[in-house]
Amino acid sequence: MQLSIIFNEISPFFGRFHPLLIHLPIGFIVVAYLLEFAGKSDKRSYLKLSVPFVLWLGAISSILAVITGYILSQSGGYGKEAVFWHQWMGISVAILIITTLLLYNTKSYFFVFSLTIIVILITGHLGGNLTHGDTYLTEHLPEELKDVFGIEGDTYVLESVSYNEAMLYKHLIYPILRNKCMGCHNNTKMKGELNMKDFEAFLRGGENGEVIIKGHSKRSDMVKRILLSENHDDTMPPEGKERINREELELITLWIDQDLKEDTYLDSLEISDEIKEDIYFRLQKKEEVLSPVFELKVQNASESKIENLRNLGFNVLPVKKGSPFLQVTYFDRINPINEERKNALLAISDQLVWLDLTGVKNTDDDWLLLKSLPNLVKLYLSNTSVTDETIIALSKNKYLETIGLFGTSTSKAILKPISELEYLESIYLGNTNISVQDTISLNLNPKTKIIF
Amino acid sequence: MNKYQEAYLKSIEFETRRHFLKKCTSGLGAIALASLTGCNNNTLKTIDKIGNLDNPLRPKAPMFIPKAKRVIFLHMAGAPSQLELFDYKPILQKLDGQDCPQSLLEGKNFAFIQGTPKMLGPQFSFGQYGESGAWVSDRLPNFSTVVDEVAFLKAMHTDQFNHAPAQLLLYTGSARLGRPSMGSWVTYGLGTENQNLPGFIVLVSGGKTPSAGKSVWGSGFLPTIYQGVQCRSKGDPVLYLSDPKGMSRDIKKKIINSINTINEHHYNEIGDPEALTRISQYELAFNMQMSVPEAMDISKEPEYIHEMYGTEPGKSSFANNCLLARRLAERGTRFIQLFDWGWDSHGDGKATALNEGFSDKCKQIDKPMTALIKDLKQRGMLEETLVVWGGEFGRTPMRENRGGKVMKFKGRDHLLESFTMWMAGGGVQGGISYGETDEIGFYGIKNRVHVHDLQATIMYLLGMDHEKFTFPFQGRNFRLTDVSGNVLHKILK
Repeated sequence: MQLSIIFNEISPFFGRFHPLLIHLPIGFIVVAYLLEFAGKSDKRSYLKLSVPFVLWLGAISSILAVITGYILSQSGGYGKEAVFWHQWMGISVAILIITTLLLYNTKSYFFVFSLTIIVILITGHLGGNLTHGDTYLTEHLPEELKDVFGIEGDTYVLESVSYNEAMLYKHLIYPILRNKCMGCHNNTKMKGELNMKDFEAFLRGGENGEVIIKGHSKRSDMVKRILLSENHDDTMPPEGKERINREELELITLWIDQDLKEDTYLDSLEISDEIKEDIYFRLQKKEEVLSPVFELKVQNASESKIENLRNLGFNVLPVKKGSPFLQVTYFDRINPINEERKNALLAISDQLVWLDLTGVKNTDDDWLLLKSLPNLVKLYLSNTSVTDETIIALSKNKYLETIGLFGTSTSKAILKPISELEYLESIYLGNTNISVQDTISLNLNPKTKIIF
Repeated sequence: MNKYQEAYLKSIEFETRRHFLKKCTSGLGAIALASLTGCNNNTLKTIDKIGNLDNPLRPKAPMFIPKAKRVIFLHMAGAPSQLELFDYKPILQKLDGQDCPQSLLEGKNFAFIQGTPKMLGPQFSFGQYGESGAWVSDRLPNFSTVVDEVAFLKAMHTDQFNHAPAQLLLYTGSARLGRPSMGSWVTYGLGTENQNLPGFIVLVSGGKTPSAGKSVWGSGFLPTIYQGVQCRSKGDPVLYLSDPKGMSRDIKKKIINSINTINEHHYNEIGDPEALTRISQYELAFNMQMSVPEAMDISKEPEYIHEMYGTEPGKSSFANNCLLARRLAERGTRFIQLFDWGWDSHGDGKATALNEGFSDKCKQIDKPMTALIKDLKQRGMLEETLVVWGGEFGRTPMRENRGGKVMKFKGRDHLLESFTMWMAGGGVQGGISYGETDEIGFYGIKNRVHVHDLQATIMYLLGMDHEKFTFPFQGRNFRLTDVSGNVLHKILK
């Protein structure tokens, strides 16, 4: 009786040794495997003699790891399903390693040994996911490689809503918690036995009971911890993680004090003007979208193509570090875009999104190359000889958002075809043959602005 | 042998073969690792190199997709009065002539105000303009037509109440000398688009350079190639740039090539980054011989443009500088810094009196800065060009009483706790007013913006995270905003 109480009290202490002990069997078994291989050469055959000894060490340490691991799993704080697989794989490792020892010097020995190695790698990975979260390993893999491996990025895009349609928890609180809390408090990781991803579980709280008390934000453990100073032991998010800022905390306390439901509309709540202003901003911010062109999967342009453009006087740069999409400017007001330059531009037609050819000396027939640049988003042709024919042909460049035609001889014939561009935001028509009157009756999409 | 040499020899004796070997274990390893990982593995080739060396001015991609490609910063050196231009305070008008209550003065630092000053109401009438209904005084009739392009920052504040340190804080992030200026950080981070022009150009008007001197466009601890290049708007834009008599461009090219080869040897031997600066400056200067006179020649602009800006070719003026700014922006200059001197309206003389000198200054800038916005806009350049306007601090709602006496002219003292700046274009929302000051414009009460926040926002618009964009110096990483600065997301598009 007495003994079992002591054991129950002290067992979590041993459980915590699991993450430490676990490295021993991994090390021993891998070393044994390597010794087996190295011993294949006659020169180092003596290494083989150590294999059974190292395997024994591996077997003993793996049993210890299984025991401590079981104790640790009893203390909770981990997702059931994730623990299940890690636990049984771990037990399999212990069994497999003993089997390997029993089969030593038989035919199937090597096969079972290799199987053990595979199982131990998988077990280790699952264990790592338990402590660090299942996106830990691939979090900083470059986006391009994630695509190669088919790993989904952890970006969370919220559908845009107006103030009247917005729910306090779903549209404002959840995105905050998701960014700053749910990395550790989710279905699989549950630090402190708290799972915030599942709304019901969130309300139930963690190992110390409820973390939020309806109507009493100041008494709620969650708010108390957020307010602790950054280097306090109990503060949340913990030291080194991004903090909850003042505006976010205001929303959280509002939610605890007034609402605490998952699906209450903002409309039905009493909200001060200042917080309202912040909410408007947050909701509206979601609507900001980059041109859809940036979602296209495009290869990087080869270095030789970029170098060739630069040798021809173009200024070529990715739109941001590591992006395949390119911006090109041409400052030369003397040498026109000749055949060679045209071909150089066409060579990067997939990547080219921003093109500035202001003031370039060209005659019109050269300009038709533009329609072969399908991914253009911004195009500046101010003070050039570009004519209607070219611009009309641009109505097929569907991603165009900005067209600069200041100081060109374009006429109103371009207006109709251009108005078909779905994403067009601004077109600059100052100093052209087009007048304000020409544009009045035009049926433009509401996003488009004509600037004279 | 002096003491120093003696100490040096002792220290060498102390270094034994063992010390050397011990250092090798980490040192040689690190060298090997560096060559294995291939640092300086540039994919950009041609403009990456000058001869065999890295070109420090090569264009670089920003950290994220930028809203603005370039900045034109219009600085009214001396600090213009927000209370006479944008921050309308009718209550201050009612308090005009009354003694300032002691409670407002306690614990405050002023440059000149002594004892109990009198309150001073706005000296000009205000009106609301544009769809946004922005308040602008009658001193800026042209500017009031473009307020819908502009985001006003009404509750700016700074830490310094004297011109030089406040200007340094605004441009270098520190009130003390030695830090790089904003334009230097930008050219260091993004390089220069047009290899024939400097990436950071400074134009000065009003007869004097700003109080903090050339440090406000200096490169601090960054290599000196990144410092601002000051161009004159009258006469030769850059002195000594044209060829001397009897010297052809070909000969000059040969000379520069030879000098650069020598400098290259020097760099390979010693590795001093200033040698690189020297080389690229020679290259740039040679290219500038052709490009600068073209870019700086405003006489070729059509008549209606001169009309719009109020420019007179051949003269030195803020108007000419505004037009030059647009021409340079068109040619790929990243950071164009205009300083206009003469805004220190203390009222200690006619030139600094609010209804005299200040009023004249307003007239000088009103037309050109409005034209700059309109011109950039009609060319579609305002989308990618961030225009920033402001001074280094604000001015008091109290009338200055230098020496404790009533002065002949009306003027205001320095105020660090509230002033107005505005931004236009480059991803900033138009037609908004951000921040509020109290009834007398003495202190910001809502959405206050520190100059570090402004810096952070400018960097953000250019595609740089001000917290991650650093330069290692004296054992730690420095950044423009040092340890503060929040991006003003609420004023962005």
